Amino acid sequence: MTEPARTSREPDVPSDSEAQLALLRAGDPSATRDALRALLPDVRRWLYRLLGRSPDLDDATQDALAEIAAFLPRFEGRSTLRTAAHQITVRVAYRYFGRTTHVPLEAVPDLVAPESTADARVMAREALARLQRCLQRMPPKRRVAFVLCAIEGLSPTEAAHIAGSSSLAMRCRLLQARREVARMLAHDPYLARWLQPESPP
Amino acid sequence: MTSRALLDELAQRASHAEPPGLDDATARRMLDHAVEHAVASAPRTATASSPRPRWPIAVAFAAAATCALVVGWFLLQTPAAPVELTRMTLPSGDRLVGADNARFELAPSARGVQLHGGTLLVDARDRFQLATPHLVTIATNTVFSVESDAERSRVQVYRGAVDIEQAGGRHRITAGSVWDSQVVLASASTSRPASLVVAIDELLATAPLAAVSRADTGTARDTAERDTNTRADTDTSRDTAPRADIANAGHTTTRATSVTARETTSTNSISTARATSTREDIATSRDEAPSAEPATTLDQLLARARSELAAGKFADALATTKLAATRGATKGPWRIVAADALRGLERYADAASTYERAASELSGTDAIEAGYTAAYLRFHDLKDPATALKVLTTARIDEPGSPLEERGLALRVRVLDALERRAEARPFAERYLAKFPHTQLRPLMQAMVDPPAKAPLPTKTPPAKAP
Repeated sequence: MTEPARTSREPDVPSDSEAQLALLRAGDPSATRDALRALLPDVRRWLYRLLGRSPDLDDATQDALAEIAAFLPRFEGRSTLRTAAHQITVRVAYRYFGRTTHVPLEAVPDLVAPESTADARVMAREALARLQRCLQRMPPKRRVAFVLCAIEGLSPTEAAHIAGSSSLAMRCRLLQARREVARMLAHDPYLARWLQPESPP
Repeated sequence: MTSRALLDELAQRASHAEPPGLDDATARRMLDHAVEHAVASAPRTATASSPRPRWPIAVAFAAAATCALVVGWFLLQTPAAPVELTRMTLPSGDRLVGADNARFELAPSARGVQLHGGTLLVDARDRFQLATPHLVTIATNTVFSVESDAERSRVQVYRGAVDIEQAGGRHRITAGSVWDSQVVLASASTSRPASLVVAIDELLATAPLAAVSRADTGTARDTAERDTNTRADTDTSRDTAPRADIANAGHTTTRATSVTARETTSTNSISTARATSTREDIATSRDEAPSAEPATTLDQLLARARSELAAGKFADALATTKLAATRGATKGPWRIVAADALRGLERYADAASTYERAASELSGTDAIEAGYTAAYLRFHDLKDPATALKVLTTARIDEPGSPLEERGLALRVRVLDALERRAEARPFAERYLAKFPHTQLRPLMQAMVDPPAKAPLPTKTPPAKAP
């Protein structure tokens, strides 16, 4: 495959401008690559939140990028490119649900300030790992609803648009997901201890 | 704290968690393959058509069916034509043999296949996945076949064991068993697909591709829990090439060919293989000597070099770039491949220089990526922060709007800190915090912005009085 001739242009972040849209719809490899490059961090982050620290994360990222790249010539600009990419990413994530993965403690990133005690850091990581395990045990649609709304911060309407469902269905799934996760976490003594305020010195 | 508050707290913290980092080479490979996939699956021009009446279709179908019956009867009277097989070996070592007009697509990572129809024989090395419209098979160190049509899929194992996921359940079948998706049940079977009898014998005659065989003689059972313990270390998956190597005569007795790339509209499809090559008929009653490879074009050489890189064969990839250089191909993507190969061989000084040259030759995102990698090597591996700073500035990596702005800013701050030019680092750290407030580097950047703690001033002692 011959590398296309490159024009000298500033490495701007791809936007949804008309010119950019035209290049993407024409399948221009440079424009496609730039668009994917800009989307890669988001795609990977979305998949990480949906799949957790999964050994399939790289494969899923590659699949999502490939599907987005194939979709770009059909992109009509009715929504933003980022929204369309998010929809495709969620669809790709569904294929990877159901592959039970043990979430090792060291695989979860630190979420507390580095100057806190080692105990606090370990507990914070374990708490997040337990949340990920809860999500892995949930049905895929509820899992997606929880991730999009509770973690990503989307409204149920926005999440419904991403997931390809109705707002009503998304609200129901979110409600059920929150109840289910809350029930799983409610009797976890580890998490309850982690969130208790530290005792004064 | 209530459980709901606990849930909200955890969700809030999860929203700040960032995924594990992706090194530049892997990111570049992912982008390359996604772009190639887009080119390969570019839709053909569709012609608008008005709605047609249906009855001519029915008549044509009936006529075609009649013709098919006649032709089929005729064919039964003639000697069997040579079986047409498609063979390919993936860079991971997995071997595929397609028969009965097998139509399949490779996953981008080449660790799986989507079978749309026909029969596929697989000699799987390590955690190979094959999906049909009816089920998903997962196999390690196994020889098995899958036949699929519109109605059902049939999985037969000849060596090792296969896990099958169907209808929410997971089942394992072992050598000598067959799984039928219509009955959702395993049964014993020693028959083989007629088109693959010889190919199966060939694969079984060779030793298993991996040292340890995981053949399981147990009956079919749910193995969901086992999967988490037997899953291969996925970090090694980065060493396997994401695309099939179609010129691998060392593994097959006949010339390997690629699969015809087919456009698909299925939302569940995975990316297609590369563009078509010819398929050759293989007589089942005789062995054919492998024919000599035709002279390779520069494009093919570039594809081979990238495949060698992805497979971790850095010396081979460097040799391929030198071969291309004898034909005048040294710049642009060739420079990047050479730099990646040198980096893989831990020749960091040569790699950094090559990346810098690539950054000056290329433009756009490629130039920025090459420049960043050069600066990174200069700082982290060659302990040369001064040159790293020059490269960062020349390549304009951390300029606003750059695709690698975050990485560039982070590297520049670290470099300036190493050069003890903290005052110069501060505005960059401020810019970083303003634009990327939720990364793991926040504490470092904040430390750069915050004024350093003042040391207590030494108490002045009065000068001694003169006598």
